[in-house]
Amino acid sequence: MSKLKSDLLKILILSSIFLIVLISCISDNTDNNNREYNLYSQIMCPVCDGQTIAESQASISNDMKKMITTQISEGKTDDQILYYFKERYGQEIISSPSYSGFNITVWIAPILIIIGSLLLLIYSLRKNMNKAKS
Amino acid sequence: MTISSLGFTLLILTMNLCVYSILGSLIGIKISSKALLKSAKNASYCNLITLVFSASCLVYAFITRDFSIKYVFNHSSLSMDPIYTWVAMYAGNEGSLLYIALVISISSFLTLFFIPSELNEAEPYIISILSGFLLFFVTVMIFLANPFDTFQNIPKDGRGINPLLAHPGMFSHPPLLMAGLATIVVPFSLILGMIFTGKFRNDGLDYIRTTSLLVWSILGIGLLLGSWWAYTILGWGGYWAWDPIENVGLMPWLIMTAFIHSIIVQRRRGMFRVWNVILIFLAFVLAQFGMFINRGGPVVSVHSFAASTLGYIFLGFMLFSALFCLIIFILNNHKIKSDNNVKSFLSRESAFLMNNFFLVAITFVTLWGLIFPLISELFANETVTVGAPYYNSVNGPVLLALLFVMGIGPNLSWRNTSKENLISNLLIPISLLFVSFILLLFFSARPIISSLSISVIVLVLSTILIEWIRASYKLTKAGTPWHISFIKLIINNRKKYGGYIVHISILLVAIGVIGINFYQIKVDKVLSVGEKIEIGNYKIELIEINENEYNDRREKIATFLIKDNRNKVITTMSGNNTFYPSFNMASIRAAINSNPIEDLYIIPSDFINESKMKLIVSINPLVWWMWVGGPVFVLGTLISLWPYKNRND
Repeated sequence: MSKLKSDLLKILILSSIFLIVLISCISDNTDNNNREYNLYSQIMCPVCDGQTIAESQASISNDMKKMITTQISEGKTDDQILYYFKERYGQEIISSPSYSGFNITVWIAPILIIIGSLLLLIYSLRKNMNKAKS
Repeated sequence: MTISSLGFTLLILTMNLCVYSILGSLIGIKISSKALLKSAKNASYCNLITLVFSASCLVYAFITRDFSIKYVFNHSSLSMDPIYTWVAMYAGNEGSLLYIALVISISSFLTLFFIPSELNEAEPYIISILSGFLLFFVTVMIFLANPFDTFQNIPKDGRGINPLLAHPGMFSHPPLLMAGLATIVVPFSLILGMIFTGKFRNDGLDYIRTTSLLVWSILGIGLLLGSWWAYTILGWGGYWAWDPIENVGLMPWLIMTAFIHSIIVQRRRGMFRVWNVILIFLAFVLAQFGMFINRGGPVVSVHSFAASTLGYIFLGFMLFSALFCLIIFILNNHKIKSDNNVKSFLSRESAFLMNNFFLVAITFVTLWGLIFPLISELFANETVTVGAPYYNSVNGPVLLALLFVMGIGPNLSWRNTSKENLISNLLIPISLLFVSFILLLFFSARPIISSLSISVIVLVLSTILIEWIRASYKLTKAGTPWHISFIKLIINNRKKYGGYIVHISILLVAIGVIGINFYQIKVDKVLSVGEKIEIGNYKIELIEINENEYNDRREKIATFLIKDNRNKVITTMSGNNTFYPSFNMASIRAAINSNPIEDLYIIPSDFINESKMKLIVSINPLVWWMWVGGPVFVLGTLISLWPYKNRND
């Protein structure tokens, strides 16, 4: 059994080293270029079905991308840029609902329901177990 | 007789056969006439023949470019690549209905052919459910969406296939996905049959398990292939965009995943019977929901190829199925009782329960996001978009919890786990979890959630490997090399070890998802021929732009020379941007250079002039592993399904 344990440990250590090496091999550079792209993927293309302007090739999407680039160079923050588009096209231009007003339910409802039903499940399991014991 | 009228006549014949086999089965039970039951079963077999021929008629019309048929005119043309005429049959609404009908008839033939004797009594009910389901599709085709509808004046050339569908993925993803969704009816009908005969206990469970595993794996592979397809093309939001059409395919798969796990508990411990019925009902209704969203639902999607005006019909069918399930459930609920209860939180049963809970939770989150735009419009009078950010941030943690259960579950024993067992089983995996988490925190500056996800993967993987090594050691007698006993181990307990291999494939997919979600680098650049950009460890030079004209399309190909940091040439890559004037649509294919560490991924998004273009360059780490997950998934499922010879487990 002790041989088994030492073999186990060897294999496990090797495999975890492999994973970590793999992760650290990945090129690691986060620069500002990402910022533009992040914004693109938060804004929907107004003329396409279900695409963000990051994916869309419609000319309006290209114009919107240019506007974002200009606004970044003007020193605007991400929130300001998103607000700019929201004012013009409405909430549906943003790829996910805001954290305010009625829209907050999209975020909160599933979290509350999942936690609530998990607690309920645990409670009823425990009740059953106690019943079985007594 | 023209090919179109032959195909249509065969559809009408199928409709009559369906009606006959339903009535025959039901009346056969009532008057207990064996002859009638037998003839109803034969009628259901005949559906296979009529539909194979009917579908062949449509394929034949495509191959011979018979543009007198409207459907052929709309989905093919003289200039299209002939290879796609073989699959253009399911490129649109009407033809894909015929394809689905064909799949249902094949699957019901196989179901009835291999049905075990313990299900004999339930068979007539199974036949009527399967034929009823088929009847719906055939009737819709005959009265509302006839694939064999013809023109008075025959056009010279067709409109052509949707350019986005002219991709190798067309041969595998749509047929598998549609087949997976349609065949959920098989385990559904088996369970209904058993409920009607009052015998949903342990008979026939192996058969249910086999069929649901098959359905589940077909759907799973279909989803993964779709993911790969979307990854190679711009416009579908990368490998997974949480688009409504994608979500409606994912939800039944998630519920089926829960089902194939909880059916194990029913088999082993006689538990979760009611729950399993709920799951299979839910999977079936969600599959019909998918059909509705796909064929004219109220939400916008990037891939609506089967969109039609038939939305209300499929909505009606979905509501009908839901109501049907509800009534059956209320009427029979009292008959289905479990033999046992969960005895301890530290038991295999409770791990399966948690697995089910989280899978259903993910399904719920996905469904909620999908329908929220409608809710918001109804109650707040505001149009909103619920996109990837919602799904990623709400589903992400639940997926992580699910992975965690996948790592803990196999270490727990049935009924109850003793303290000693718990410690000896979990000591190494849990300590590895902590070690890798701490190491990753030091090595990587990424969000904690990514380090956490990777350490949970380490936990699951180490659990599986330890199990394998321990069990092979037990089998090893003096002198046998360990790999022989390892193979023996897998062969002797295929169900269990096939399952573990599937778990590993899920980990591989998870590794790819983590890589692309947390470690991706992406830039948008304008580049002229001869210019270079640097990203990560790559230097990318645009060497040329070529343009080719075809009858139906204009193709622009950009070729890049890729060098590494030390100016050593790695490879050349090319991506294309093809414009189809008749569709006013461009299909953009990415240039991808893949290796186990990362993908270099270049999208030629727009050509400004002959020597200047816009491109999106990204480095997608670890995605390679996601696609390796596919074959591993198939291998695991096959091992798990491989039948035993003359032996019952």
